Amino acid sequence: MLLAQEAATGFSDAGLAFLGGGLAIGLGAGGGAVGIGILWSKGLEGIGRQPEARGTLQGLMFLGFALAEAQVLYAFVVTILLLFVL
Amino acid sequence: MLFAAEAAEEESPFVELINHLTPHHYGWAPHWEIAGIDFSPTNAVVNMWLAALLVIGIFMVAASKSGIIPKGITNFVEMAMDFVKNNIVYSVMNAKDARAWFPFVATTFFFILFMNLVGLVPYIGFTATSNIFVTAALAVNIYLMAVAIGMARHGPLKFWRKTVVPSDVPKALLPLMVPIEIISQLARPFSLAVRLFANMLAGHVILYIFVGFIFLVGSTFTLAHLAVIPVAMVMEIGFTAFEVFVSFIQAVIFAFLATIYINDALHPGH
Repeated sequence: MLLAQEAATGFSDAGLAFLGGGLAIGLGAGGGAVGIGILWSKGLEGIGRQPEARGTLQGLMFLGFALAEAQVLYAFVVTILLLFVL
Repeated sequence: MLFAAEAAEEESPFVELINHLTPHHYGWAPHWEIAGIDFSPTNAVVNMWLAALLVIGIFMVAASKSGIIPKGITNFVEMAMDFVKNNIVYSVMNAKDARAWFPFVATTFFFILFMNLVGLVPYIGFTATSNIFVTAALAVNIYLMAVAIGMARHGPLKFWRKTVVPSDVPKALLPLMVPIEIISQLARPFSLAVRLFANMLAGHVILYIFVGFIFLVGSTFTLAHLAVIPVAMVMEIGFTAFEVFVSFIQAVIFAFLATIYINDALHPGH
């Protein structure tokens, strides 16, 4: 049935799963990287304006980084699922 | 599927290495079976015992040396407890609740921190938190405990009404807001579990892939060895340092979000 599907339309289940896996991690990591970049740039700008606020800002920067990184890792879990299970 | 394609021709070294990340039984572990269910300890269970023993041991040693001015390990433990107290518990809860909940949050933080760090020790470590069942057990239990305490304290219907219906929203928007709030509440234990699990798993998968490069080059010495092996070793060492940092940050995030969920249960509504 899979060979018939591949012969008929040119797409196979395995090929589509690879494509989906690549798209998942590509878009996920791209969005996450942009978010983390914006967060750290604002944080560093704040430290530059007021160096005394460094302690507070550093703690919050790492907190925000971990929360944004978690979204990238959800995409990573989906990619692993697509590549190795489907 | 990728494994199936590889296994058809030859055993790629990555397959063998990634198998280290799956739960399996140690050779020396006993085989316990109760009523047909296999309770024999897997590597995750043994490493959880090891982390728990380390936590208990370090804190007993640190508490037994008393004195006005702490030094040595007592100093280090007091520094860590100070960090948890000020930045995690007392910055979220009011003073009365924080005093009651600080031991629980500190225990969670140190247990998860030690489980993450034990996985980085070269031979005797498997990261227990890189198993979805371990992190899901911790996250779901903490969230269900918070919900149970909230429902017991405020009454079930009133608790859910205060949590899910935001207070200052025009009535016409409520059929849109309430499903969104329900979904965001249900996503809390799920995201708490998957965040820790995915961070630990991704870190260890990348570490194993760097080691796999060295296996991939092969055992007969070619010129490629001179290029690949130093780069792989340096990246492995650098990435292990990054993994120590990520272990610490993920333990802080887990404890911080657990404190926020407990605080949301004690004082619902926003």
